[in-house]
Amino acid sequence: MEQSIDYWRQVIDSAYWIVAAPFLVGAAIIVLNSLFTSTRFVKTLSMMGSVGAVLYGFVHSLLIFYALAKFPELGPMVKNIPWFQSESFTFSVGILVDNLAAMMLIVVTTVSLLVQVYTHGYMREDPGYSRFYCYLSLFTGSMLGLVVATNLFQMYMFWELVGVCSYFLIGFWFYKRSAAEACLKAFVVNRIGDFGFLVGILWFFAVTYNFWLGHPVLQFFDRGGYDLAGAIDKAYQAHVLDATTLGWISMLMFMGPMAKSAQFILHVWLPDAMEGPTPISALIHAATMVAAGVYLVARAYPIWLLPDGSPGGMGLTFVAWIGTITAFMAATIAMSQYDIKRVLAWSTVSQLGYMFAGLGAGAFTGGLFHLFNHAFFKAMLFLCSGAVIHGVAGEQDIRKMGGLWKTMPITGWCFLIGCMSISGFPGMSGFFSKDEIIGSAFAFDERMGAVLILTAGMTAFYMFRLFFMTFTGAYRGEGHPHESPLVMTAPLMVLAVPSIISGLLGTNPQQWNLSAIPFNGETGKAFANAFGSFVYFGKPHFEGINGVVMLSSIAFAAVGFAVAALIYQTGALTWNKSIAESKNPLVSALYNFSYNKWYFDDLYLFMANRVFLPAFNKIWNLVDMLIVDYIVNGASIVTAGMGEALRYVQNGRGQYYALVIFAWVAGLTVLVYFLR
Amino acid sequence: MADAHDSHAHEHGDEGHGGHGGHGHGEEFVPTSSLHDLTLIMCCGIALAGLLWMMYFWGFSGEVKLAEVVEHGAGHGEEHLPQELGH
Repeated sequence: MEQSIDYWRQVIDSAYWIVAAPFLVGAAIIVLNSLFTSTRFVKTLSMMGSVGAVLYGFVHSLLIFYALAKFPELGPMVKNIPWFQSESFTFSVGILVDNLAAMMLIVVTTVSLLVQVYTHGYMREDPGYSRFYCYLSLFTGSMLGLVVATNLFQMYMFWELVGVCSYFLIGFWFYKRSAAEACLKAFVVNRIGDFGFLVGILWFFAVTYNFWLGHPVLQFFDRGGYDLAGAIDKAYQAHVLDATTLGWISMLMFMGPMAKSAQFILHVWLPDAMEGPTPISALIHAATMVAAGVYLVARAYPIWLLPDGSPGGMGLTFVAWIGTITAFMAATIAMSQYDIKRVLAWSTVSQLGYMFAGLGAGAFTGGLFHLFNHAFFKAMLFLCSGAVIHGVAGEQDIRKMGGLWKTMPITGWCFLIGCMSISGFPGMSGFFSKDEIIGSAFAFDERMGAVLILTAGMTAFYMFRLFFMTFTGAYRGEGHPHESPLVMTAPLMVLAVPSIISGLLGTNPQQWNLSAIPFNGETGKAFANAFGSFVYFGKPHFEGINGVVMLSSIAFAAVGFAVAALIYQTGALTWNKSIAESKNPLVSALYNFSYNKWYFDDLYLFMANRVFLPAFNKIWNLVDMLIVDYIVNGASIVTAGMGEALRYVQNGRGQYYALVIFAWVAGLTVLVYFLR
Repeated sequence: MADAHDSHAHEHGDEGHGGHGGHGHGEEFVPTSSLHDLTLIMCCGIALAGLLWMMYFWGFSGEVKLAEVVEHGAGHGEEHLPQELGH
C-alpha cells in the first residue's frame, strides 16, 4: 500500500472494467452455450467466468474505496466520452467515481459475489444453470453501470437494463404460469414508473436546456458547475425554474424509484417477484434493483431540494411521506403472511420505506447507511430462506416448518442474526441506521417519527414470528430437513459478519462520551461518524444520539419481540388464532385487510378489467371505426373510383394519346390568351 | 454435507430450485463437491477478508479521518435537520 498517488489515480480511472467485466462474461456465456452442448465443462466455465468477474469487481471496488479514503483529493473522478453532439447540446457516457459510488460498488459486488457462490449449490441441478449465471452477470453489470453513470440519461439506460434483467430472472422458470405472470407484472409496473421518470427527466432537461452551454448535459457532478445543482441554480437565477415546477419534476421522477424500489401504490410487483429462484430474490432485494431507486434519489438529490439548494420543498416531503406510508403498510401486511419468502419481501418493502423516509427527512447519510446495512442482512436472510426451502424439500409455508434449529443450526444462527439486525436490536447494524432515520424523521415531522417507531415494533414482531415459526417448536412438515452444503452456508456466515458489525461505522468515539457532545443550544466541536465522514451530501454533519427516540424505538421493538415470543414460542398467548378465527366483523376485516395485502391486487385487477380495459376498448373502437376505418376505406374508395374513371382513357392507342395532348395544349393556349 | 445434499436432491421437485422444468436425458450437473466447492469457498474467504479489512480501515484504523463539524444543540435530534444540507 505504499504506491504513489498516481497509482491510485489509475486504480480509480480504470473503474470502467468493473462494469465491463460482467457484461463481457455474460456475452461470453451466451456464445459458449450457443456453440457447444451444455456439458459439465461448459457449465463450470460459465460459473467460473461469472464469479471471477464479480470477484475482480469486488477487489477493485475495495481498492477504489481505499484510494478515495486515503487520498480524498482524487475524488470525485469523472470521465466522459461524447456519444452524440448537436449544435446545442452534448450527450455523453462515462464513469463517475466518488465516495457514494465507491460505497455502492462495494455493496453490489459483495452481495453479488456471495449470491453467485450460493447459486452454485442452489441451482446445480437446474438445466438453466449457465443461463442463470449469464443473467446474474448481466444484472450485476447493469447495476454497476447505473452506479457509476455520469448523467441522468446514462443512468436511465442502465436503469432499464436492470429492469429487463430482472424480468428475465423473475421469469427464469417461465414454464410456470405464476412465474411468467410475475415477471410480466414486474415489467408492466416498472414501465409505469419509468414513464414518469423519463417524463421528469425530459421536463427537467427542457427547463434547464439553455444552461449546459455545450457541456455534457444532465451530469451529476462537474467541477465547473455544469451539473444538476449548477443547472438548477442558473435556471432559478434566470427565473425559468421555480420551486413548484421543480417539485413537480421531482415527483414525476420519483415515480421511477417508486416502481423500482416498490414504494406505495407501485409496490405490488415485488412480493410476486418471489417466483424467481431464491438467489435472485436475494440479489434483487439487497443490492440491485430495489437499491437503484434509493441510489437515484441520493445521486440526483439536488432535484429533490428547493431550487436555492435548501430543503423543505414538495419533492423531499413527498419522498418522506411515501417512504413512511410504505414502511407502515408493508409491515402490517408482513405480520399475517405465511410464505417465508413473501414475509421477507414485505420486510424489504418496509425497510426501503425507511430509507426513503430518511432521505426525505434530510438524513441523507442515515438513509444510505440503512441501504448499506440492509444489503448485508437482507441478502443473508434471503439466502437463509433459500437454505430452509432447500432443506425442507421445496416447502415455503412456515406453518409446515418449525424446529429447524436442530437440523439446520448454521442457517438458524444466521437467520437469528438477520432478525436481530433488521429489528434494531441494540448493537446490531440495523439499530444504528434505523435510529438515525427515526431521529431525523422526528425532527422533520413528529407524526412521521411516531409512525416509524410503531413500524419498528411491528418489524420485530413479524421477523421473530417468522423465526419462531420456522426454527423453534416441533417440525410440522414432511420429509427430512437437513442443513445445506458448505458452498451454500459459507455465504451466509460471511454475510453474518457485516450484519453484526457494520453498524459500528455509524458511531464515533464522541457518541460514547456524552460529556464531549455539545447539548441543547450549545455550539461546539463535534465529529461526524465514520460512515457520515465518507458518504454525505454537501457537508458532513454530526449524527448525534436522540435518547428519547432511541429508547422509544428499542421499547417498541422489545414489545414486538415479546409478543412474537409469547404467541409463537411459548404459546402463552393465542391472539393469532383468536384474530384469524374471530367472528367480530371489525377484527376479521382488519385481519383480512392485512392478509389480502390491503386489497391492492384486487383493486388494480378491478381497475384494469372494469375501468381501463373497457375505456381503452371504447377509445379503440372510436379511433378504429370512426377515424382509421374512414380514412383507410375512404382512401380505397377514392382510389378505386379514380381507377374506374381513368381506366377508360388508358386504351393503348397512340393516336388517342396524341389527341389528348393536343387538346390540353390547345386548351392551355386558349386559357393563356384570355388571361392576358 | 455435500452427500446429504445429494441424497435429497431428488426431493426438490416443486416450487423450489432444481429438478423442475424436466431434466433432459443425460443432463450433466455441476458437482457440489471437490474443486468447484473449494474454489467458491475460497471466494467467500476473500470476501470475508475484504469486508473485515474495509470495516477496520474505515471505522477503526484512524486513517479515514472523522469530519469535524460545529454543531448547535447536538444530542437532541436537531443535528438531523435537513437545514444541514445544501449544495
